[in-house]
Amino acid sequence: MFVPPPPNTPVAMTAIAVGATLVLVLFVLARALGARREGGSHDAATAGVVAGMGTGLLVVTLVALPIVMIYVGTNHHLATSKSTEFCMSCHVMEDYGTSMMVDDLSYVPAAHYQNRWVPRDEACYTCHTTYAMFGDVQAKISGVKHLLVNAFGTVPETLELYRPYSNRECLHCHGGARSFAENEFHVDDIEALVSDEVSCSECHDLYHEVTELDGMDLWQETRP
Amino acid sequence: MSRFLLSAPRSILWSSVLIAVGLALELVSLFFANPVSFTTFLVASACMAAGVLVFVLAVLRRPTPTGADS
Repeated sequence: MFVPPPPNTPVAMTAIAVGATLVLVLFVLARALGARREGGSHDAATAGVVAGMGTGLLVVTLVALPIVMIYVGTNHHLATSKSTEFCMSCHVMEDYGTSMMVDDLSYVPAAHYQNRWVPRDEACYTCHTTYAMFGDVQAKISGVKHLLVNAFGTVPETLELYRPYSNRECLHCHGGARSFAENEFHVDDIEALVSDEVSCSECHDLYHEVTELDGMDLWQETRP
Repeated sequence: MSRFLLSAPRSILWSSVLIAVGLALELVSLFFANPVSFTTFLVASACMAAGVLVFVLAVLRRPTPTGADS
């Protein structure tokens, strides 16, 4: 079974900031409830809070800090959603994770994952995002679609890409690399490769072959 | 500023409840990396945004009571 590495997203500082803000807001809430109980009205509650902590701190607590926490949380979750662990948390993706552990480097995902050609904690995202201006946004929209289908729809037996895989995504890393540039097949077809007339997958044609996983040997990582 | 705050009597209570719920949900969501935690964060953001809006709109819309600052 494939065990994805944990996401490389620091959580401690974000959690401390959110926790501290929560304490401040709970303090406001406690004062408001206390003052209301004593004064018997919402006006008394408001007056009690304003008198207790000052208007500046109150506005910071109820306006500025929540906005900052939404921003901080958005950044954190966008970073986390790129992680291999995030993708593998859906049951339907388990076989695709296992296919990266196949003990045969002619399989493209296995070669990339096992040789660390892609960061292991962001393996799926690195190959399956679009390296264009709105690639990240497109990836997030696709992710939300997957979430909805997983929760409310029927997951298809065979998963397919939304559009043919563009060579641009391969050339983002391999273009200009010596091993790529000195390969005679690449040199002969470079223009066709750049313009997507010829797909990289015409030669490198073994990917996530999840239907063939049964009986295949899996790579056992050994650390020195 | 205090007279504006005093003119919005219910806003502090409601907005602090909404923001506290949002922050608590966000805090929980930070420790997981899966679509459920992502959705939880979206709900948390909506709660916090609603809390901020409740407070700001109440402060801006309510008539100012005379002499509240004095």
